[in-house]
Amino acid sequence: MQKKRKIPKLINGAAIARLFGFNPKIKTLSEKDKDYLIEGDSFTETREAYDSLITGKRIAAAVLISFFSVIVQESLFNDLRLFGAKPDLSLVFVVIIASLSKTRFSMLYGLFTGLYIDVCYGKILGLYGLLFMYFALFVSAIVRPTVKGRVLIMSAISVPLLLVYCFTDSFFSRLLTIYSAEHTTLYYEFAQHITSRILPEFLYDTIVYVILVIPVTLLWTALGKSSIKGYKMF
Amino acid sequence: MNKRSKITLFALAVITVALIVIIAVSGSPNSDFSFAYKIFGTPVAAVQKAFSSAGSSVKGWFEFVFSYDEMKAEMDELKEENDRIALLEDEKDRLELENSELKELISLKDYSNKYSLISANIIAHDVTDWFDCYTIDVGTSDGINKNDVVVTSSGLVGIVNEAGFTSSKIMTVVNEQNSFMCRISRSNELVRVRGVSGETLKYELVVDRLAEGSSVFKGDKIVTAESGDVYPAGIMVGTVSDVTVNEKNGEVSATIDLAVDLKVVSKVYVMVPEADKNAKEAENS
Repeated sequence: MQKKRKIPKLINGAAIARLFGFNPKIKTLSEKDKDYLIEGDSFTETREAYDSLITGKRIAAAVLISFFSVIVQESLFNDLRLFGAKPDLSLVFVVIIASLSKTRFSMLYGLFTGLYIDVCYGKILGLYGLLFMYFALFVSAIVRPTVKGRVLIMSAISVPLLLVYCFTDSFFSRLLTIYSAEHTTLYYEFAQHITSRILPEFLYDTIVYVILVIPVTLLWTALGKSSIKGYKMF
Repeated sequence: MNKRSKITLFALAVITVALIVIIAVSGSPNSDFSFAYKIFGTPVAAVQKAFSSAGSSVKGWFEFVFSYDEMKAEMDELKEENDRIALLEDEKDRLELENSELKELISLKDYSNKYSLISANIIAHDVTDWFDCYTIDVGTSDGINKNDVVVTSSGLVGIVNEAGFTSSKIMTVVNEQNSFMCRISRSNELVRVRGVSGETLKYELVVDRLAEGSSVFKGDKIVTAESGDVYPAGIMVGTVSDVTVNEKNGEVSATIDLAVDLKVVSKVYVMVPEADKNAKEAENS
């Protein structure tokens, strides 16, 4: 039997509140409007299935975000440094989009964003392709199934992961510097490296993440849902 | 595990191995792996240029708003300065004449005889801050080659790391891969300096190898040495801002403040050896 591809209409406030996981209306709706659900699935399962749909609009948005985030990061944030650091805008988008998407899509998004940075801005080809791909995979595998689209929980898990990424990025970049320049020292002063480099970057990434997480999540949700006939997000 | 998951895992393994190989090849010393940049760099450079000027406008607007009083004071100062310049013009002509006579007298090597300076704008900075690569809007079509030296009127900026058709990547001196020999202009002693920006995000250099019996003091000017055949000798690098002695082993190290402020530099000059330029012109004709 063919499944019904319909989802309850949500009002504006409900859509936003749902992101925080505080919306009692959704629960009421899910019980009331059984007909709207994919047969055999609960409302939550149906919603999750739609949340991670890879639609043409989402792919187009991902390509545009990937392209322009790097350019904006480079041209604008270079002059808006905080304690000498600038945020990794592309990384923040990778984290948010990977938190909302399935692992295959996240992996590809991370890979192509990283390769774009490597080719056009980086020095060593493939480094950010590899780092972003695995980080997106990791975020998608860990965050998405746990948070089910709720922004507060998503942020609580993603922000520490940003710190993990800062350390990983630092380690591999330093390792490759040694390889390229034939140096012998990984960190001359690790404590200083943490305070003057890793923490400012992490702090700035977190600020940008907090600013962007809700708009991007809403946009991502809207782009997925707008392709479903009869669905109205706002 | 279903078939799709198996395919994904296989693809992940293949991509990982391929990327590790690419990293190993492109990261190795003296590797020339710039074909990807040559292909994709040209269209992206056009977008970078547009965003670079938009970014500069935004920055300029904020600077104007927040430093209006400062700018007004500077304008008054400049008016006075202008009057003084008129008087100094005559003095300058006299000194130029004297200078050229002295140059001939001591057979001083002049860069302008050996290099042609090609002006370039910085259109993109390093996105991640790890490798301190800047992108400039000139490339092989303008006569730029890999390893050409990049300077400003204040001093050394770096070298061309990859030359695309219409844009190039330069590696700045603060990058840790840029270990090079310099001289203390006061004593003409040879020292080795290296960048530390990767570790501290500070645009400065460190003197990490000082010959026995050598001394370095705060305020010493550091210039490039002829050693290494990359940088022409005598280009200003910076000024020693701090000297520290390791209490355990007695090693002396010094921090150098760059002569060029890399955070604000937007226009640079690429020093193209005349020999290369002539060879290229002969090739074209």
